[in-house]
Amino acid sequence: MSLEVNISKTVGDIRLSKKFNLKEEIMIFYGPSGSGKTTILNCISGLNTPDKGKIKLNDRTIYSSNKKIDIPPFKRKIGYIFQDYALFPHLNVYENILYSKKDDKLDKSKINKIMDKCHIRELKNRYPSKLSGGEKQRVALARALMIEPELLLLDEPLSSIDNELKKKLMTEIKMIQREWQIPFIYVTHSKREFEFLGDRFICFNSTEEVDFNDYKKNIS
Amino acid sequence: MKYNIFKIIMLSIFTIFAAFIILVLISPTLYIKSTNLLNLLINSKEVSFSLILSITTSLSAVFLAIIFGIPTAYVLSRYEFKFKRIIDIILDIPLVLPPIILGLSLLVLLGPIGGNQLAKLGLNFVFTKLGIVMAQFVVVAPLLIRSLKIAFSNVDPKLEKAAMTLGDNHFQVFKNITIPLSKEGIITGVTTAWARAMGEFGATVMLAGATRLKTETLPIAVYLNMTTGDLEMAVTVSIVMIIFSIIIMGILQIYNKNIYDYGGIRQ
Repeated sequence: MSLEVNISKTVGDIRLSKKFNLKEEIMIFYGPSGSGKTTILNCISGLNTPDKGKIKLNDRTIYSSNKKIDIPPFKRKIGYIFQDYALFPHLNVYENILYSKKDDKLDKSKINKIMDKCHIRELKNRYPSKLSGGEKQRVALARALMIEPELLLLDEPLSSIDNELKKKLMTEIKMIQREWQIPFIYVTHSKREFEFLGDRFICFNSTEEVDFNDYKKNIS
Repeated sequence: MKYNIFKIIMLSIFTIFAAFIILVLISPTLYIKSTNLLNLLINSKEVSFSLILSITTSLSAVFLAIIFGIPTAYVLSRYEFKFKRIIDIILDIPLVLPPIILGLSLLVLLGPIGGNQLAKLGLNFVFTKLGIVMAQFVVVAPLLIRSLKIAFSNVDPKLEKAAMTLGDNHFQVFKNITIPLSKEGIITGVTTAWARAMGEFGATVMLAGATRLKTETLPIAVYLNMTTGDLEMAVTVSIVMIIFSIIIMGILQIYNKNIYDYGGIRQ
């Protein structure tokens, strides 16, 4: 599993230009709010279109400005966990998780395995409004994993979680990444998450652009 | 016990107003004897004709309004384009324009200007039942669009994006996320539009005319009977319309009680 990104996108006054390769590891997008982290994530997922460049996921070119390729988000097989989880309020936990499988034959053992992995089996009949922040995060993770993603994008998934729970959830995210062996891109402006989860980093800065493929090595 | 003057004033005004509205609504029933009312309701050809005509034309008008209204409202709530604000205002103008002016504009457009061309296609709007549908459509479509626009705007676009990353194309997102999450607003909008179409008079009378047992909707029946001095018949038709309004409000109330609370409990 690998991801190759070389794209640029202008949003307002900020010109974002990012180039990196990623294997089965956790890449952290680190930087202040408004520095373009989510924009790059949206470009990778297909929700935004870059101005130019190329994105390759495994052997598939999912975006190329030169070749005029722009695979729509629903065909990219990229899981996305939004900042506020974007759980569907009219569906219960089970229906949320199975959203991507609503037209397919259900593999119950797989569903149960993912629900157990994310510790949400007992929540399956609850609606999102009745879930805590940590439970929502787990449901969003399970829902994203159900599509069997080749890449998982996590946009500040722990920003509204209290510190006590945060460490537990960070450990779970790391474990799931190691088990699934797919690239994760994790957006945060928390130094704690950045240091705990990251295998590699890109730092975003709102005024100047600095890329560090081996930031951790440099600061140490 | 300490009196809350503020509360007393508010409750007094509320009581006076509520009593006044109830009195207005029941006054037709106070005028007519119940035996006469029942007799007219059951045996009058005019009442049954205008009721059936009103229901069929208003449902057709609302159906047309849904067909055009859903995409229009979605475009206005989701997309950005040049002159969007101006177009949005223009589409709202029929809401504040007297229906009689709308009817006159329709009469000019579908009569002297485009009537001949439309007639070649078999479409005759002037002084016909089709004209009633057209008049009701033009009056209620902006009303429905306004409700739908608010309903669509209240759906978080992030939910639609999330559905897209989970494998839904744009049509599926619209069907599975946007419509279910706007359902409450859509049903309220459609029901209100239907009630408005049933009561439409000004635009209808200008385009379709007021011909007894031909283009005689319920409001036109009231008007025709008042002009000929048959107050009893006018009151009977009015009562039919009041009953219809009560049914509409009842449907809305029952629906609002039964909608999901998104909390895991279907009430």
